[in-house]
Amino acid sequence: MNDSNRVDRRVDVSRWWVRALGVGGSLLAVAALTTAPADAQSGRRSRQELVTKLTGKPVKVDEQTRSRRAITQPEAEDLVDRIAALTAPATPASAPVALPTGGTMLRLSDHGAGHVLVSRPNDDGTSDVRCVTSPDEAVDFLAGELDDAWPVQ
Amino acid sequence: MKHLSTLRSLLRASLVALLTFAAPAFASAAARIVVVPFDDPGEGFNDQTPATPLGGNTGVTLGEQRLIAFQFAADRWGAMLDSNVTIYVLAAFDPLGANVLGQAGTASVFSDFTGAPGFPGSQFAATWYHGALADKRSGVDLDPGGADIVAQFSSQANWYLGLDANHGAQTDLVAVVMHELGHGLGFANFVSETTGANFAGQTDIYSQYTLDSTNGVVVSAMASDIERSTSLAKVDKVVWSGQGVNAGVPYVLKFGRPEMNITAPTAIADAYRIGSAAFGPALTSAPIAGSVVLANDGVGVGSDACTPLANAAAVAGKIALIDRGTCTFVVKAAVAQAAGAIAVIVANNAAADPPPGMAGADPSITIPAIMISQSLGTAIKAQLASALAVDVTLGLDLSQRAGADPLDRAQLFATNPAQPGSSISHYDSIAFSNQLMEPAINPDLTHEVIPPYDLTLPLMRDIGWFADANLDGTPDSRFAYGSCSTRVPNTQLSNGAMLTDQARVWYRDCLASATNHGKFESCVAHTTKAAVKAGLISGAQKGAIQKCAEEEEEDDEDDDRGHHGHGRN
Repeated sequence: MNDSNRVDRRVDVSRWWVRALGVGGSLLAVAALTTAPADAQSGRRSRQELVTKLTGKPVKVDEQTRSRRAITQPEAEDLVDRIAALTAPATPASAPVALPTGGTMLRLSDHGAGHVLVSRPNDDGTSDVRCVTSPDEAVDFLAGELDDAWPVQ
Repeated sequence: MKHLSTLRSLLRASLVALLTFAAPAFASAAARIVVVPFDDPGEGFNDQTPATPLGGNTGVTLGEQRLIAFQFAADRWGAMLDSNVTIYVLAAFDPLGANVLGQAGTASVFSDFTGAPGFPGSQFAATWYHGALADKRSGVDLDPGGADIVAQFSSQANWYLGLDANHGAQTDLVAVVMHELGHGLGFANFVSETTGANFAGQTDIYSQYTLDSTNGVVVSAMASDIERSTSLAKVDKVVWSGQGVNAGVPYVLKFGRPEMNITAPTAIADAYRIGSAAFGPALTSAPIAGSVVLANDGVGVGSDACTPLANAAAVAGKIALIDRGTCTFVVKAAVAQAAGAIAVIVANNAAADPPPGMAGADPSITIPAIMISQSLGTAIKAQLASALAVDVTLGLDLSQRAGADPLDRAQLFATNPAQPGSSISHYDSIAFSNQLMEPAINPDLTHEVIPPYDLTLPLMRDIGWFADANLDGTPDSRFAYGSCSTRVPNTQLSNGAMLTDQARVWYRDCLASATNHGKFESCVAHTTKAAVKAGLISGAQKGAIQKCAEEEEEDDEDDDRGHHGHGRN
């Protein structure tokens, strides 16, 4: 296979990927999150609940002073929406494709398996990092209520 | 949207950059992983902001340093995995903000694929495989021209772009990329843990080894969604069943599982999993024993202990039970400490199990603090309300490894309720030594993926990334490297690593440091001699490693003359 064909196919792959990570994909995920009611059984909370929980928490770093500051409500809304878009579970992007040599291929929509790394700044200038798979998990972590980032002994 | 012409130029530019900055790493790679930048001119990998070389990263612009660090992480995987199909990682740096660092995943999944002559194809029927793994096992590119992994990282995060893990207060890009590529290469299931639904009606290769230890059934064999969702929410009971990982557990995971033991009353007597605290002293093997007293500050929800305790006299010398909420964990601990408590138990106020750890910092806190589940907190309070004494010990259970079950099987990160998504696609957060594929990216990661440091490569081997040095599709039962084969069995060493994997690490490091063939040979000789002296390898193993190092290096030099790149692809 030559590079030209590879690039053509990669553009096909990239098209949905960029779309998913762009405004369109974000809006879809935000819409789903906004309209989703809190689900006590699964632990999922509504967008508003997540934004409320996150707002005011010291998770932003001031560009000038490099110290932590509280996240504003608009910033919290943007962050929750961004994480919702990125953690949306992968779904098939198209019908299964039969491989010429046998077997089946499914291209994934969105962005893979929804494993997203989020960062929370600490007082001392360090930050803790966690791989999350949902907005709930991300907000709990960012709000300082979820932390595994130190040795147990 | 990027246009085709732009992408072509970016691809060409990226290849030039790769040849310029990463050629030595390619020469040693067993699986070629190509990072394909997907950024516009002037941003992301193409950011021309001047940068000072650091930590082994020789780039002189921000974009160059990002690409070098990203490719370095890819090459760490490439050196340990074998595939005759190039793995393409479509990657971009975008303004995601400082709190969202990035993500990656496989671009496609495959099932029931056949192999080229000599290659095994899929091991399990009706089972999804990640694209790069499917290519490896089929021996051909099953999606010609398609990316295998897609990745996006934040251009606004405070990255450390050095290659030496000396990241200080910054976030180590190499470790983060290695973690995310791990997901893309196979360290991920596709089951919905909230509903239990398989992905597109089929199980996946990761679920073939995801075991419910309470009934001995792997997730792939479960018949219904409810069975899967129930099993995947069993905290401490979801383990990896693959032989490679579990052979490495005794060498990687340390004894000392933090827990709370209730010794009285008998109705709730048992050992319980806890969440640790980032502040105060860590639990040790010398347990703290005491009676539990419910804190009461007399204000609002009195048991939240956000103000000085009204029952300080009762708490003094005891272990304070405090409800989560209203104020920070550090405040609660400080209030209890001021009342004379010897330790703090925080009862969760949400139905999350395992109980999460507690963040915060306050060097004045000198008593340990832990978190327990909401249900256990309720049970303890019921006993106290009945005027029954609740006696506990807090400490490390030295009979069990942190992150393994009593049978020394590595635990996966099961939560109850299940996190929407796939938390199972990580090792348990309780694991220690800290693992690359835990949910948290811990600051002490080493960039190594084999025992005695890490269990990630053994998991990759378990799911089908078998060692295949000559890329003929047949797993290597004996030590081999490139086209060099030996009669020395590929056995597990006394540090838990397989001989082949350990040797690859040595080759990789010697190739990175040597400036010519002679110095490479000298490095390998010195390293293996020291390993024999330390009792890690035998004389025969040393001889095999040295022989293959010499032969493979000569082969690479020949290939470089002919192809200006890796000759086996």
